[in-house]
Amino acid sequence: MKHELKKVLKIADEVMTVCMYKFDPVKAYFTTEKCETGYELFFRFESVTVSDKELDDLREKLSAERNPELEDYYWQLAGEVENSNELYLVALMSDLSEVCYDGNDLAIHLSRKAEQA
Amino acid sequence: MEKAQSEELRYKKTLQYGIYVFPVLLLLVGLFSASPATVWKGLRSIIASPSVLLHDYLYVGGLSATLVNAGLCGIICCVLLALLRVELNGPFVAAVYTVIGFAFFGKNIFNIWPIFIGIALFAKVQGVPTRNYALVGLFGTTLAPLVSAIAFGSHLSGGIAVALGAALGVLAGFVLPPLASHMLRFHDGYNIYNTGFTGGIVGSFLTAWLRSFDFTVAPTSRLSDQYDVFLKVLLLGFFVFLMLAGYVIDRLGARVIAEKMRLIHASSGRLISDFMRIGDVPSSIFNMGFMGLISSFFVIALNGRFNGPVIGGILTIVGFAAFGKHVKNCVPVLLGVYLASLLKVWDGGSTPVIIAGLFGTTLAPIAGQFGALAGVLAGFCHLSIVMNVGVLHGGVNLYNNGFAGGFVASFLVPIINSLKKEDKA
Repeated sequence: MKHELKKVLKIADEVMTVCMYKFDPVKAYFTTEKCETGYELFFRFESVTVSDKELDDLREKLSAERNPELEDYYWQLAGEVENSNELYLVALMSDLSEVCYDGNDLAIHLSRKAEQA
Repeated sequence: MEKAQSEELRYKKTLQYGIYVFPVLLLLVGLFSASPATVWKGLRSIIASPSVLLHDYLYVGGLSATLVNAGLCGIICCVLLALLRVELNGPFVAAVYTVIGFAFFGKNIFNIWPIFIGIALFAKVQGVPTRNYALVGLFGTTLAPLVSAIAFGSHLSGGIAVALGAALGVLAGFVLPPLASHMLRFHDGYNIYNTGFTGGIVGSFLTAWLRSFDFTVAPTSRLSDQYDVFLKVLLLGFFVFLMLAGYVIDRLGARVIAEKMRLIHASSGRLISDFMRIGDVPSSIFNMGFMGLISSFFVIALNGRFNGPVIGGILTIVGFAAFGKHVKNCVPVLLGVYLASLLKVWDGGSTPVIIAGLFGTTLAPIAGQFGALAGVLAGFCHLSIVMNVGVLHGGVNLYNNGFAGGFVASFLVPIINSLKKEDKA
């Protein structure tokens, strides 16, 4: 698929932008692994306060199914605006999402398969 | 959880078949409102018209043929989406209603096909399924008049004119997907009719080329006010039906609709705001009906007539009420355009001003994100810009307000952002 790496970086940009602005973490990490099927993306935001409502909202937005019809049109919007929240778009570009919060650190795992016919 | 999943499945099925209701209704009303000979004659006139802005098909082909054309265009879109196995959601509902709306003044059962073919060719060249570009394809019919303008409105004639028109349409369709995606960054999603902005750029390029080869491409104004009352009754009735349908499909009652509507109203509407996900299918359908009534009352309050372009504006709002538009982010823009018409040189009750208001709601996300005052300012600016950009593309880009909206959003949003105090997401 075209622009695959750029799309992965856009996803990373959006998640980092939303969480950095929203939760103001002391430390933030992003790592990615390239595997046979595509990319695994891991985010960690340390020393953050996330309410139950915010956590539900994160999970809900990231739970949308991957949608190539919308992805191919709108992917360039991800990570573009500082005061908006495009996690729904992130979900449309991801095959799997997991959100964990232990009361102090917030971890997000996204998985994106390279090919989606 | 299982109950929620079965409800979601039921909503999907409802949408899958429900999307046909409006185009089939238009088709049937059109077919039964005149003799087959009259419909056929009108349809031929519509197909053979140059179709550039503002060619009101009610003027060109009469009521029955226009309704048949709009119904058929809508059905063609729905069938194509079904064949491509596209899962319907807010963006696609918006796209289908936009095509139907513009099938009252610019899109017809002939000139939309070259655009579709261009999109399919692009998908083939890219090696991706055509359905990935289905949304751009439907919205991309904004450039359909390019086909008709050359085929039926140029100094060429016969097969050569039709072939050249079709070839230009295919070319326009072919270049739209990469450009539409790229142009989003120009306004950051604050101009909902992004394909209109893209179409304006492509249309301006192609029109400039055509003019350099001595083709005349220029906007015109052929409007009808003959069917005002009939169309008011038909559309207002349908919008009330939509609100009732949303309530009935919900099955859980008014309280749940109200709860979901609150979620929709909390959304800025900035691309991509799929209300069928932010709220749900019934509340989105309810919002579509409600926004249809709001936009109709805007026209009636300004003493406007229901003609092709005005109906196009109303139906586009109805479609986008599933994809970004609600009463809180649209009314400020409508008010801004109205206030502008009081101070500027244009008559507030004229069709160009009314459609500038209706289609100006492409800037609704500015009101949704930055507040009502910003929305009024956006509407106020929009009227001047939209009255001046049409000449660039000669009217071949039907979403002229989307073209203008791109400029307004890209001008206003950075300024508003820089004046904001808060820095939170």
